[in-house]
Formats: sequence, structure tokens, C-alpha cells
Amino acid sequence: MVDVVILDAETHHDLRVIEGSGSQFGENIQFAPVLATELRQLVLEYPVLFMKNPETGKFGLVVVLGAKPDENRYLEADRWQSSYIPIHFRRAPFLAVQSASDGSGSGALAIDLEHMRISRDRGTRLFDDARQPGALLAEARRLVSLAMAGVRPTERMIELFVERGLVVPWRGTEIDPGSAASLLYAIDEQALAELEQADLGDLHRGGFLQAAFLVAASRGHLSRFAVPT
Amino acid sequence: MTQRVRHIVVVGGGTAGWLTAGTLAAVSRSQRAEPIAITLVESPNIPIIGVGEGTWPTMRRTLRRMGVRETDFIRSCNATFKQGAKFARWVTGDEQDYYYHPLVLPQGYFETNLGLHWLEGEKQQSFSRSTCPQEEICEAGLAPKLITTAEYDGVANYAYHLDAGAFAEFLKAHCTEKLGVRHVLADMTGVRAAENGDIAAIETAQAGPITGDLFVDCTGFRSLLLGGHFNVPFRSCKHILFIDRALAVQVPYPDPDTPLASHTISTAQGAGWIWDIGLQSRRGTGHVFSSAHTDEGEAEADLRRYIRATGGDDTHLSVRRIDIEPGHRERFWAGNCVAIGLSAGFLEPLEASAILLVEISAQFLAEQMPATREAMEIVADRFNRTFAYRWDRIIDFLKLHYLLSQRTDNDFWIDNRAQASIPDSLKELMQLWQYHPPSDADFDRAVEVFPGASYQYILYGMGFRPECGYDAPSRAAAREADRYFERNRQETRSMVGSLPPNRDLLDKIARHGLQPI
Ligand SMILES: Cc1cc2nc3c(=O)[nH]c(=O)nc-3n(C[C@H](O)[C@H](O)[C@H](O)COP(=O)(O)OP(=O)(O)OC[C@H]3O[C@@H](n4cnc5c(N)ncnc54)[C@H](O)[C@@H]3O)c2cc1C
Repeated sequence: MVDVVILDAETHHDLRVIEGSGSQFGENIQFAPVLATELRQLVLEYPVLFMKNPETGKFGLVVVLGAKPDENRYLEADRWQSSYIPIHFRRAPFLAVQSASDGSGSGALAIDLEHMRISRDRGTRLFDDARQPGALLAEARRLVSLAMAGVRPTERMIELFVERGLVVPWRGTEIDPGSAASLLYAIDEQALAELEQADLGDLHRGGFLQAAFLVAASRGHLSRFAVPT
Repeated sequence: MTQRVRHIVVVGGGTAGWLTAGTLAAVSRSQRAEPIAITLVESPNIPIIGVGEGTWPTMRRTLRRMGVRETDFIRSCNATFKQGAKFARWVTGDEQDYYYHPLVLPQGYFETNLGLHWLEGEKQQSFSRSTCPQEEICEAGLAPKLITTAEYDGVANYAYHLDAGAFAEFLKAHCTEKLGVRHVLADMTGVRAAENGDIAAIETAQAGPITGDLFVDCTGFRSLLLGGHFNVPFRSCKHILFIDRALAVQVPYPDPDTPLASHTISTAQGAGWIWDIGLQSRRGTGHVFSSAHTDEGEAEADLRRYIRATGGDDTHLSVRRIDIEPGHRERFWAGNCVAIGLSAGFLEPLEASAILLVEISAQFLAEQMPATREAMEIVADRFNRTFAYRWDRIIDFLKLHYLLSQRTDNDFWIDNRAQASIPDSLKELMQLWQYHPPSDADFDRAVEVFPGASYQYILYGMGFRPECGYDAPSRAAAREADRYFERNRQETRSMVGSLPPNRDLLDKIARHGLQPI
């Protein structure tokens, strides 16, 4: 369940957020959504793939965290073993909602009241007694705007990749994606190598050519999930 | 001097004209360093026929080859998914009487022949239900794919229903903007003949003479070039297929969320049948009938009754009458002119074969494009033989639907079973199927218009039983067949459990689109 509301100092003055990481916060997931703007850090440690949203059919960018559903091998004893943690985890339980219904307009900081990190008696307070935002909230605001700023570039990047025929169904065997199997896609390295001059130029201008190579290369990290034979 | 084919003139801008122009342009642009120039001439005064809204799965290939995005096509052409046809009241005329001609082949079609095994034992449910999942998918009102399925891919095989008027506009924009087709709005007034009788140019009222190396006649029923200039005689088949009139009408939905059938519904009437095609925002329906067996007033009353009985409001509808001459030209290619579309011929739209013929004619032309005027003789001869054969098979296949009816409520049905009205080729097939079930091996061509499977669906769907039974299968063959029947039960369950309602998927496509991959 999710219950997303716009954050408001009056109504939410007594809310607290439990920090830390682990399965108790729903971090044991096999795939996590990520942004094109995070790629540079992500690809050093995680395999990055594309995944279709089963409700809309639209592509998103994901990192693979586990070898099977509900598994996150980057977490050990409630501690992340990787040096970079995707924004998706760091911003929780905060997110942005579009103020205008058409998706334009700037985002307002919102919070998921059903999130496992929300509490009234434990954790870090969002507002002080004077109902002024504390440090945690300032950081949340920063992360949420980073996330917001990454949405359009991510969409644009994937659109371009798809248009140029660079995206193909993922047919690997390193992980068992369960019911997500038919939703996973990867960069077609052959197609990437055979791009025409004009396409190369278009991708390069948007800064997406390098991104394509990064995503393609990150696939190598999948080998860490393969069962040793 | 060899005269190379460098410029093709398509006359007519209906479904046939634009599909032909688009196919020729797309294939030539992808294969040649110097593509063939294509001009489409269309009258600004003569409207297209504007009916013809059911297609075949081949349309997916046709559109994709032209470089059309499926999402754009679905959004622009009011299009929906079609998973075959449901024939209601064709056998006995009872209310419960129906059968399906689905688009999915029977299970194990290339390994075994389930026709035989179904007759041996699986008869508790219909042949199509026993052998493929599509009847249940259609009865449940489900789409053939998911929002996550790529454009032109399907979970179950599918074709489209589309708005004919919107389709021509959509193709026009695509052909002129993306494929370099030149569009000339002008009325053709005559033909300037070359010495050998070929068309040197067509004369037009607004744009003067337009020359070309090859002319494609897409002028509709008028057949201005093939029938007019070349005088190729028309071969009627009204003695086989009696239907010669259509009353067409567009019916709005009672509300925008009305569930959408994902198949064409064809309901037999006293002297013909009613088609019912669900588009996103309206239904297209119509009554085709034999004027020798009923009159127009009665046919219209039947149509209105049908519309009311299926939840429509018939009070503000304008019914359009179209006269049909069933049959085709004796040849389709004469001199430097080939006819595609209604100009080549027309048969009642029982199996939506008209647009299919346009697609495969355009494909033939694109793939075997004669390089010179001299080569044209050879290609023309092949084209003529191939399509004469195809028209004959379609006539046989349509007649089969009438042959197996048991209706006696009108002479229309009784006359349809008269021996004199049945082509010899069909009589021979019916004889053959007394001894073995239909299969692809019963037909001549590698690529048949209707595969053996289609004959199975119609024959067994309509209750055909061989008089003395087929030879009993071996135990091993029977076990193999049982595995296919079981596989079908599983596939049916899983598809019915996972596919979304047809309307839901189309709404999602309107909002999110489908992905190209
Ligand atoms: C009742 C009915 C139902 C049908 N249902 C189906 C179906 O479900 N499925 C299916 O596949 N098919 C169906 N068809 C057939 C289908 O409608 C046609 O095959 C299809 O629309 C192609 O038509 P066309 O382009 O050949 O002709 P038209 O649409 O008639 O186009 C003729 C073109 O020629 C042009 N033209 C004519 N004269 C001149 C001139 N002098 N100068 C310049 N241009 C000229 C016109 O302007 C027009 O652009 C049906 C037909 C009927 C009658």
C-alpha cells in the first residue's frame, strides 16, 4: 500500500523517519529503478538493464540487485556493500508529485505515509519544535530534486535507444527474474557497433552514445549472480 | 531500345491505391540505389468506397514494411484487434448456433492432423475450442496481446478492424511525407495510347497528361484502365455466390466504455448475412444480400432489427446502399497496366479477402517488379496465373460456408446448395474430405490464401462429418493428439488468465502507446 501526500509542516510536524537500510525497509528487491543521470556511478558496480512497466508498457532503467525475486545481494546484514546506493533507496520515503496534472510545473515534495520508514515515536524528526525543517528534510529535498531532474533525460535516452534499434529482449541466464522475465531488455551490442554515422552523431550530441556503451558494458556485472558450476 | 521501368503511376486513392503505392515505394527504396518514382493520381471529386474495415494478419507485415508505427496506426485509424470471425446462425439458424474461424492454427498443425483425432473422440466441445485458444479468448472479450507486447507482436495471432476513410488519409500522409510518393489530385478523363496499345499517358482535367512506364488501376468498381482502356472482360460468379447488394451503416456505441468484440461477427439472415465490426468509437455494420431472394425494404428491416437486438439505436442512422457485381476480370494485368483492388474484382466480404488481395498483389508487384517493358510480359503472365488461381480458391472457400448450411428458411440457402451452383473444384475437395481431413497437401500452391486449417475450422465448425468415417489412427498417433489437446487446454487457461479486455488494452494504447520492441 502507498499513501502519497504533499508534505506539510502543520499536518506532519510530528513525523519521524527511521534511517538505516535493510530488508525491513523493503530493500530486498531484485530490480530497482534508476536514472540516466546516475549511470556513471552505477555501472561501476551494478548491471543495468531496461525493464517495461507492466501497467503502461513503457521502458524504465533498472539495476539488477539479486539472482532471484526478492533478493538483494548488495545488502549484507542490513548494510549496503556497494559504494554507490541508487537514489531510489536514498530518497525513500520521499518523492515528488507533479503540481500540474499535465506533468509540467515543478514538483512538490511528498511523502508516502505507508512507508516502512515512517514512525511517530522512533527515528529522526522532520521538523523541529518551531516546525522548521531539519537536516534530514533538506537532504530529502536535494535527493528528490535530483530524481526529478533525471526523469526526462532517462526517458529521452531510452526513446532514442529504442528508435535506433539498440534495445533488444534480454535473453541471459545469469539470473532468474521470475515473472519479470518477459519485461527485461538490454542493449544490442551488435546494433551498437553497426550504428550509421548519422545515428552516432545524434546519440553523441545528447551525450547518450557513451551512456549506451556504459549500459552495454555493465552487463558484465551479471556474472556475479551466476551459480558457480 | 529497352525501356526501363522508372516511373509507376497509380490511379486511385482508396485503400488499394495507397497500400499499393506505399508497398511499392517502401520496397523499392529499401532495395534500390535509385528508387522507382511513384505518382498517385486521385480524383478530388469521386469519393473512395469507404467501406472495407476487416483485414487479415498480413496487414501487420504490410504496415511494418511501409515503416508505419503500429501505435500511430491504431490511434489514427480508430483501429481495433481482430482475432478471426464468429459465424452466427449459419448452420441451423438457431439462436445458439455459432462457430469460429480463428486466426491461430490448430495445435501441432505441422506435426499431426487434429481434424482426424477430434472426430474420433474430442467432440464434447467445438473443433476450434479443442484445438486452439482463440475462441475462448474472443468469447471472453480479450485482446490478443498485452501493453508490454511489442508493436506488431502478438500473444495470439491477430489482424485489425479499421476505419476505411481514416485509413486512406493515414496512408496518404505516410506515403507522401515518408516514402516520397507524389500525390496528384486530378480527374482522369482519358488515356493516350501508345502504338502497341499500351498506356503512354493518362489525360487529366486538372494536371494535363501524366506519363508513366507502368500504370496501376486502383479506380475501384469503375476499372477505368483495365476494364475501360484495355477492355478486359468481367467474369461474373453470381451463379455461385448470389449476393449482389449491400446496405452499410455506422452505429455509435451506447457509451464509450461498451465492451469491444475482438472478432468480426457475421450473422446469417434470410437471404444473406450481416457483418458487425467493432471499432474504438463506433461499430460498422451492414447487410449483404441477394436481390433475387429478398427486397431492399426487408433487408433494411432485418438490419435495423439486428442493430436494436445488439444494443444499438437505429433511429438516426443513415443506411447506404452499394451494388455489388460478384466476380473478377478475366486477366488482371494487360499491356503495361495491372489492376489492384475493386478494379480487379470483388466478392462478398465474408472472409475479408479484398484487402488481403490488395496486399498480396502489391507485394507480388513489388518483389517481381519487371525491370523493362519486355520483362513485363513474363511477369504479367505469372501474375495473371497466380491471381486467377487465388480468386478461384477464394470463391471455393466462400461457397463452402453456404454448402454446409442446413438452413431452409429461404430459397437463398436451398439454391446455394444446388449442385449446379457449386464449382467442380470444390465438389472434388468435398469428395476428398470424405476420406481424409483437410490439410495443406490438398492444395497446389506453396502459399495458399487459405491454409488447410481454415477449411478444417469451417468444415468441422459447420458440422461436416465424413460419411463412412476416416481410417482409425494408431495408438501412438492418438496419444500424440491427446498431448496436443491437453496443451491446448493449458494454453487456453493461461492466455484467458493473462490477456486484458480488448477495450482496456486499446485505452492504454491511446494513453501510453506500444513500444516498437
Ligand atoms: C459492402 C462492402 C464491404 C466490404 N468489406 C470488406 C472487408 O471487411 N474487408 C475487406 O478486405 N474488404 C472489404 N470490402 C472491399 C474493400 O472496401 C475494398 O477492397 C477496398 O476499399 C479497396 O477499394 P479500392 O481502393 O479498390 O476502391 P475505391 O475505394 O472505390 O477507390 C477508388 C479510387 O479511384 C479514384 N477514381 C475513380 N475514378 C477516377 C478518375 N476518373 N480519375 C481519378 N481518380 C479516380 C477515386 O477517387 C478513389 O480514390 C468491402 C466492400 C464492400 C462493398
